Amino acid sequence: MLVKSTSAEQRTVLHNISWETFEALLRDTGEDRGSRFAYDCGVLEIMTPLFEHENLKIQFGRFILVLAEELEIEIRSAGSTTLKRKISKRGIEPDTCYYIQSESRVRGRMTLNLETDPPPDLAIEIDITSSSVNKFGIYSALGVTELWRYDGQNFKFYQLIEGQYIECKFSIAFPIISVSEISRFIEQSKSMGEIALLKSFRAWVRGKIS
Amino acid sequence: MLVKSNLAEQRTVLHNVSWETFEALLRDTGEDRGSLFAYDCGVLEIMTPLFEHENPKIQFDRLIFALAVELKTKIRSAGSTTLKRKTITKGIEPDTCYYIQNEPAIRGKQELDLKTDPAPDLAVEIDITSSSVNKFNIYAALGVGELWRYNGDILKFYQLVESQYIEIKFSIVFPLISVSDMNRFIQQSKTMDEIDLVQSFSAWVRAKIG
Repeated sequence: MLVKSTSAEQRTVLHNISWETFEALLRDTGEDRGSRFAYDCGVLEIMTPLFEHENLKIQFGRFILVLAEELEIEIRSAGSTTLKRKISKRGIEPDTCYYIQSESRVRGRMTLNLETDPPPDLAIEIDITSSSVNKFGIYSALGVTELWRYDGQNFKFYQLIEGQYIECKFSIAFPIISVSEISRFIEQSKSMGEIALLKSFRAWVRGKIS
Repeated sequence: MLVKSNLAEQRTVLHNVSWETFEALLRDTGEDRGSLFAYDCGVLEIMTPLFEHENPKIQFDRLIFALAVELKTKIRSAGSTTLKRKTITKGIEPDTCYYIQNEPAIRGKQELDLKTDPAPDLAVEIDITSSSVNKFNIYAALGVGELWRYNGDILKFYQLVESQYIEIKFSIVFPLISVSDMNRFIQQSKTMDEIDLVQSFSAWVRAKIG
């Protein structure tokens, strides 16, 4: 049993949870849960995000939206939708995730079934404290092509290559964007006002395009 | 990067959890869970105790045991066994609980079924931070005759009278012991060595009897 409680995330872990029980919990607790599940072959982690975590998540969401808008790339936001596949016995609710390259395949869809639909192209995970489950393992099993991970200090891009996540310097979904550039804006978010930050980010993206 | 928390308990709450899902969770997670469940009509609280919570719990158990030894009372410890009844859709895992008056009714039993077995006579609850469920309601519905509640500073004794808990000065289960006596020893546990504490308590009980 692991207990981690900090200013960023609170994590509770239960072991030996069957897939059926995991699905029953998802069904019962529904949409407005407030806490997020990550499930890996019997281990269920229930994460309650606190202020530091939530704020960062919101910044990331805005950056992605600005990027998509300025670069004129169509996206479909799946937020913290439960991404799960029974045959892999894995499931996760990202901080936020997006269909980008596969957007046209899910446009207009109101439900997702990863047994038949493609997984999101990009997922963002903020883990300022360590998670008790192996998130790379879960995302790999789900086939999410690109991961952005922030651990409170370091920000990294990862690409799924033959079942493994390899660090990469440039985003796959947004190829003109490098990890160090986004990292810089993440650092600035700690001291800059949110609107000023967004304006600065938008101006920078426009500068990059032209 | 982990920041230490000064909370005594970590609580995660899930809403709209059905009784069936609650029971599935109990079955799956089994005996060695490390966290305690409290369930009240759809609300499931998963409480992970930290050091500040665990240590007083251990002291209470030792003092109660020492009391039973000195008073030569028959006792059956049920620890944090899940006390639940489907018909009332409530369940709880106390910090520790005991059969005393009803000890003969469950002597030799290896399993408890509160449909047919009596509820424990005494339960001890430590809630240094507030619980999200109404524990009085749960214990009252289960019919636990006496509750000792400790909030980290103050101990109170309660007796179940017509489905309500009333504060009492002397224990029903151990009529010799007043709440202020017990509180005094629990407060001493914060600064006294544990062996000295038990010995001092046992000597005090013997003096009271003799």
